[in-house]
Amino acid sequence: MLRLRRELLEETFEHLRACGAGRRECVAYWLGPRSQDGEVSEIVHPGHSATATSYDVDGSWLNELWVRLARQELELRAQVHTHPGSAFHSSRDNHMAAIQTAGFASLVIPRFALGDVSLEGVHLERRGSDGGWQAANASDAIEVT
Amino acid sequence: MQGQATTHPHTKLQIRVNYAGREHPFHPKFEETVLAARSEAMDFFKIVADRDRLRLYRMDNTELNDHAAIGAYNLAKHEVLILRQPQGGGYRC
Repeated sequence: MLRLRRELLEETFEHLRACGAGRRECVAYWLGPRSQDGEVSEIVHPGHSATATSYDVDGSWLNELWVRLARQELELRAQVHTHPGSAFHSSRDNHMAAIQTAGFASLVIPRFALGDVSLEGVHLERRGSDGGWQAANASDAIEVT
Repeated sequence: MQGQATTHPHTKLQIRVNYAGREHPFHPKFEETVLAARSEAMDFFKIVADRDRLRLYRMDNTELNDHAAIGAYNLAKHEVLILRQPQGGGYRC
């Protein structure tokens, strides 16, 4: 179970909308303290390039994030990105995720996140212990407080 | 680079590998391949996916060649290497 405050969900949508501008995909990461399982305490907006149907995070930016996570004892708990149309996990989403350990969450927001700020219509996948992705019900797996 | 590797046989390096904020020390032999060192790190961090796509990077974002001897990179003592893969995604399959 992931837990985050409503303001952080709103902040996530704001990033995705402002950066993507209804024309490009966008991505955000949810971070949380290692000591608090499942807690999301911060949103970060990775340096990335994007088109209407894809995004790629800057490698140097990721290197810096890894160092920061170590220094501040944080974990990357979920990647959140937009699609122009429906929300699903594409093969790119499957094979180019940020994290390769069990339990990592990948949330896809439809229509460039221009809809209501909610988990309605989103698509959530979690990485299983066999490395594969398993669809999950976002409302069950993410608690917004 | 191969020449450098053979001038220090059996020397062990002292490096650290950072995977998503988790850092751990490793001591690969100078002549060990990057792939072998990467595999050891992936086992330690319990990597369950994308093992063939993850790579080791220096902080300047230089990617270490899997087939090179890790000692050939003149890594500093306790240098941190980043374990990650290119991150992307999107509607386009």
